Amino acid sequence: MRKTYVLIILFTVLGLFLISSSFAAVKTYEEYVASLENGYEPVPREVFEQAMKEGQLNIYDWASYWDEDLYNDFSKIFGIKIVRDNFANYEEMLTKFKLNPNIEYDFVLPGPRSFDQMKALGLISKLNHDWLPNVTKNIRPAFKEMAFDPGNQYTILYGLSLAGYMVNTSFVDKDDPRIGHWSYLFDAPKDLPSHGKLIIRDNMYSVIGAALQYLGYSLNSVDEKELMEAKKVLLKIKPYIMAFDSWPKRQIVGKQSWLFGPCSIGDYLPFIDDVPGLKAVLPKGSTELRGSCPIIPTPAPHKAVAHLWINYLFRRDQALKHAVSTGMSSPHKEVSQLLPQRVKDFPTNRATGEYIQNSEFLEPPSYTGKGLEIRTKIWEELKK
Amino acid sequence: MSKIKKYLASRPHILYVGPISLWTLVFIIGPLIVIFYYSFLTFSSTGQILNTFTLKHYRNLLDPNYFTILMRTLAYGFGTNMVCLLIGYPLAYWVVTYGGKWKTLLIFLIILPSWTCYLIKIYALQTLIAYNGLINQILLDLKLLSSPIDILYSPVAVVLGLIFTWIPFMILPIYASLDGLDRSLLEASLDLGATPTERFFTVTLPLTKGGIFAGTILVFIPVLGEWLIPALLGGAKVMMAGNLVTLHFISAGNIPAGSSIATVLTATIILIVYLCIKLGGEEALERII
Repeated sequence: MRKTYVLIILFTVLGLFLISSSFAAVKTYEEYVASLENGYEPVPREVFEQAMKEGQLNIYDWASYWDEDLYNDFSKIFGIKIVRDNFANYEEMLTKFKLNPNIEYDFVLPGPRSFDQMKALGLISKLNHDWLPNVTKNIRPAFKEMAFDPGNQYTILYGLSLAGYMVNTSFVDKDDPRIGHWSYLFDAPKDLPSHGKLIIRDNMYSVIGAALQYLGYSLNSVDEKELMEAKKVLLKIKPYIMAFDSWPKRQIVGKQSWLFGPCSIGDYLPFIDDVPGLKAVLPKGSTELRGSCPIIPTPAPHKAVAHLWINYLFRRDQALKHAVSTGMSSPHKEVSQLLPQRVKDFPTNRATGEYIQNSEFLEPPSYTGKGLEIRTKIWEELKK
Repeated sequence: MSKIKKYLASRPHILYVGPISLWTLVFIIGPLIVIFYYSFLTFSSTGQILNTFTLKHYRNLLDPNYFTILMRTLAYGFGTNMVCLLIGYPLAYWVVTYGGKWKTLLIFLIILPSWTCYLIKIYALQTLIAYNGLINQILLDLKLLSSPIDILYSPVAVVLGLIFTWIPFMILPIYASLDGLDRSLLEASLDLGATPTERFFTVTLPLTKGGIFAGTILVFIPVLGEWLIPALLGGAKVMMAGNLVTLHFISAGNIPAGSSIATVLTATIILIVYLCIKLGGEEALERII
């Protein structure tokens, strides 16, 4: 008898919870518009109604890129189910699409290089900017007309990050004049105690690109002579490399590694304060530009929801959360004024327009044809 | 319908073997054929896979770097196999000979770690052998070391990980082989004047060779294809054949090149399995199953 009562109470509570969740979601277009804060632009009625019919969003992106509340809030507001899948790196994501181009994701987050490769394979559908009024109203001019997607036809760069390196100055000479240049990553390891506990990012394009920039060349170079020089630079530091790892957070926080790069330094903003002496360094001269390029794949079954989602990402509150948690430069024109001081002071947000102009995105010559072949050979040599 | 029934009645083995054969064809032979097919396709300069026949990927395998990696893979496989055998055989022998009523429990304790998620085991080992991990801490506290030693992110860590992961698969078939030995043969050899050492090398060891070769297949073969242990414990700088396949499949996106390496690796594995079964006999096959 007692068991029955307990079960009844449990089911009642569960039922009330489910009902209350569905009650919280907007049901009509008028409710949706009324729920928006000042300055947020609603999607057109037909998009909202289509999205309500579609009812689901299949996301394929990094595991902990967005704040978890982002998904929960979107689901609560619109009553739309979010199904998430994650990739560990862009290459894994690309391989998945190459092997199954009809895979039904609605929203995917490649970087500029993988965006370019997906576009070449016809995997991305065009955005309908009439369905993205928040984007049109709030996008920073610097984020329009990216060279890899003129007119923002297929994507809108959501967050710009810069490559640099992380150094724990508690273990090394913080007044070393090479800190602040690529030379610290490629010349200093031999001078550092215990081989510098150097970890190199496990990404051949970024690492070889950084070596090229250290030598004063373009990171997209396909000149064999220049690439062989970069190879020599990398083979010189090979004896001092502790490991190749793309996300050595445990080693950095655990003080097993004192020097890690080349990396998106914004990724380490959330725990930089937890590790005394940890410093993010943007090398002088130029660096690799990175970013996130939200796209809607061609076979996406819920395109209206995908547009609703992108429009939602361009709300000021969500864009601000993203900028604070990732250290990336936000595409939203109002966010930079609202950033906390420690984020404003972070090197990514202090880079000048000239520095960004001198820096480069990875471009097709580096990851196709001869450029890819030579880089693969260099990487095999480095890791064998 | 009655014709089909008559046909199946006269050939009952089809019903018994048919489903397994179908499973093997679809899930083992089929994917191998697909990989083999891909290895002859062309990888375009724009990153697309074209249906154009080429032997370029196989020609590229003559690169000396690949030879180094293949030799290292074989060496690690052989080394891991020998260490697993040198540790596993005495352990299995001790459990069979002296385990008594605790035999089953002891063998269960040996198998139990293999029930843990593979990735969790590797991360656990990573924590143990890290620079400020448990092993270094204990050695420092016992004053056996003056400073921690670098075990993690080295070839030693990779081999340690391989042994740690695969040793239960060496112990089990050897245990089964030893447990199934006819005791009267061992008694007879003693009666005929053999010393315990002579008995071991002339009677026990030859009679358990099936278990040894079965253990070799279950250890050596998976080690050849390993990529996660070199990536996590070797710091991704101790490249084995599996890492090379991963590099081409994932980093370079060159699936045909990765397929050619995978094909050569598979062919090597099939050859080794054939040799092990030839040398180990039917018992080796039985112990694997």
